[in-house]
Amino acid sequence: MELFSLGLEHVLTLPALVSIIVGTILGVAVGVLPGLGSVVGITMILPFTFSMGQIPALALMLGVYCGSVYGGSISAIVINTPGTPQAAATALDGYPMAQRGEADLAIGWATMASTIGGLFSVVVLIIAAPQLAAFSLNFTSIEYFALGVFALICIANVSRGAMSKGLLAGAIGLFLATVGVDHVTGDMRFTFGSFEMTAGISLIPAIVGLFALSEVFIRASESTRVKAVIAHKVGFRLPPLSAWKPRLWLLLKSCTIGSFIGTLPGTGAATSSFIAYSEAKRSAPNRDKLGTGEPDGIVAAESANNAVTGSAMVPTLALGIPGDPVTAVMLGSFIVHGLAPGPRLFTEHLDLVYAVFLILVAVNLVMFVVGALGAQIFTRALKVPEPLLMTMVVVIALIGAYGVRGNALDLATAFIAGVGGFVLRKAGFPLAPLVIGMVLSQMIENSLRQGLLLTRGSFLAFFERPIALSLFILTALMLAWPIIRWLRDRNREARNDIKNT
Amino acid sequence: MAGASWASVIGGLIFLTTAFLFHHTFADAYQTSILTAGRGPVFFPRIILAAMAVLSLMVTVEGLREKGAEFRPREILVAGAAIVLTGGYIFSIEAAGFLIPTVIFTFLMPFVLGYRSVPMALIIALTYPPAVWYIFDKVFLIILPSSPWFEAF
Repeated sequence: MELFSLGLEHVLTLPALVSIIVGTILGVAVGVLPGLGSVVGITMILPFTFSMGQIPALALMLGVYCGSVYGGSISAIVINTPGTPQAAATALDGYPMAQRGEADLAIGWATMASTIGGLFSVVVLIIAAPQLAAFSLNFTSIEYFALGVFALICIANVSRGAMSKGLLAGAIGLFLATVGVDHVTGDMRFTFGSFEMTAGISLIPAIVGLFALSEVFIRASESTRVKAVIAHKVGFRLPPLSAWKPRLWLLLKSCTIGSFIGTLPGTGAATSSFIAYSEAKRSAPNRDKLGTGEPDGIVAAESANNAVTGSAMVPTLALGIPGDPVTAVMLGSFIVHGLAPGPRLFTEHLDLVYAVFLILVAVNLVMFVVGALGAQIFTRALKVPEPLLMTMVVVIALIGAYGVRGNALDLATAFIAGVGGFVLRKAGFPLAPLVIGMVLSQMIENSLRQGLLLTRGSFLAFFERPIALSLFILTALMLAWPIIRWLRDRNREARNDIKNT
Repeated sequence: MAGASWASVIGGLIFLTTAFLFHHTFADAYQTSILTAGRGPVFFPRIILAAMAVLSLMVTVEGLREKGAEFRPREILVAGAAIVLTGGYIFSIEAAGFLIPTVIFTFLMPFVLGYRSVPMALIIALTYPPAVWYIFDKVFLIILPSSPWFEAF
């Protein structure tokens, strides 16, 4: 209780409260603008956090994260272009409602569902994270190795594009993080005599390049541009309580889907909203009307995608293993601010963990107020010409890359990563596994080497530990899944052919 | 290269780079196997590079079945110009400080991206970079690179 009070004290300071409000407003604005998304949003506010204290910095980042996931729904409803991929399912029913002149009501449904989804996921985080952290205290380096490999394979497997490209991107990330000093032997690796390379490839500049700069280059290479034509009256109207009653079960189910998916590595809010939408299509009270402007679709998609925000923090805070690029950036910036997520965070700095919980609750409540009062203002942001916006993004993102160490070399890293990210995206490679690979590389390498010391060099002994064995089996299943699916499809086709003949 | 997809070209380049790096792991500088029981500085990178070699070959072969890369001259030109301008901007920050290159970049980049209003671009270029510089350099105390010609910035 004493630590909880201390956590509350951390949050109830002027800088923290201002950060919560400003972060949420910025997050919603970033979410509204198509193409920016949560990762670019967080990399853009990074430079602002460098001179802040731990708690205000965390509050600003969490505000941007949650706000951006919600903000995407506004442009999805108003202009049929989701501001973020997470809001793509919202457009299916949100835009038809706007066409009927009910944009304000659709935004009301989305705001309410997002807030409930977000708060639900905070409850999941509060319950699950300490349990997982306590459980992980039994982990040795062998379990951490198995967990790291499992997380990376998951992300590579479910990423957009072919599995081989996802795995290759993950391996590139693992390799890039090995450049520089070997933390075990002190030897230089792949520096080719360059002094500047001894510090290795800095994570934040790499992320700035991979996500923010490559996005600008991708936009430059595309001739078609989204032009915001706002033909509907935008506002905010809360649906009546009686309209919620028949949708409570759908809401609870979607929140559960989102929270569960959020804890899995690599899946994220976009996947959860589509799964919840599919489930609504199968079982919602008004399933026949889905896709024609039915609030059930908005409730399912928005509660599920915001339910990811808190639960995605479960593995990040409890194990130090990020589930997606957004939590990877946050993990990187937590470390910049002297916080090392993992089980020890829960034993040594429980007050800070409580502060994170409280910030997330506050952010979700502020998000509701921001959505209710500012939906109309945020849609005006859609009128900012994209070329001007992208130019501003480059400048701010580069300050984020520079500000981590105040080293001009990091700007070059960001640029090279930007060009590399552009080329890889053009070739259909997902970038999420690359970033997660970079984040997990040191943990996987150290735990592998320590594990081999424990087992006196026998890798087979890794399979004798039950938790590690379970994770290895899951990893093998993930890798074999495309083959299993191919065999299943082939059998089904063969059966269909027999039936037809 | 006619008919080759982006994926196969990139996969091939990654394979060649991986092969070079894998060969590099056998350099004398890394031969500390007696002290580290074979798990020296390149133990882990070698495993990763081996995996990368296999995966890049898979991507290259899979890419051969994909549609050939389409090069639309205008799009390549615009993306190339954006990359060159951003690269030039980044490398000039070290030589000329943050503010002056940012003003020039903020004015030119919108035109590369298709914007055509000169007055608006000029207004943004003359207001946005100084505002950003002031906020970070003076308020948040993130000391941005300064120019060799002016003391203040």
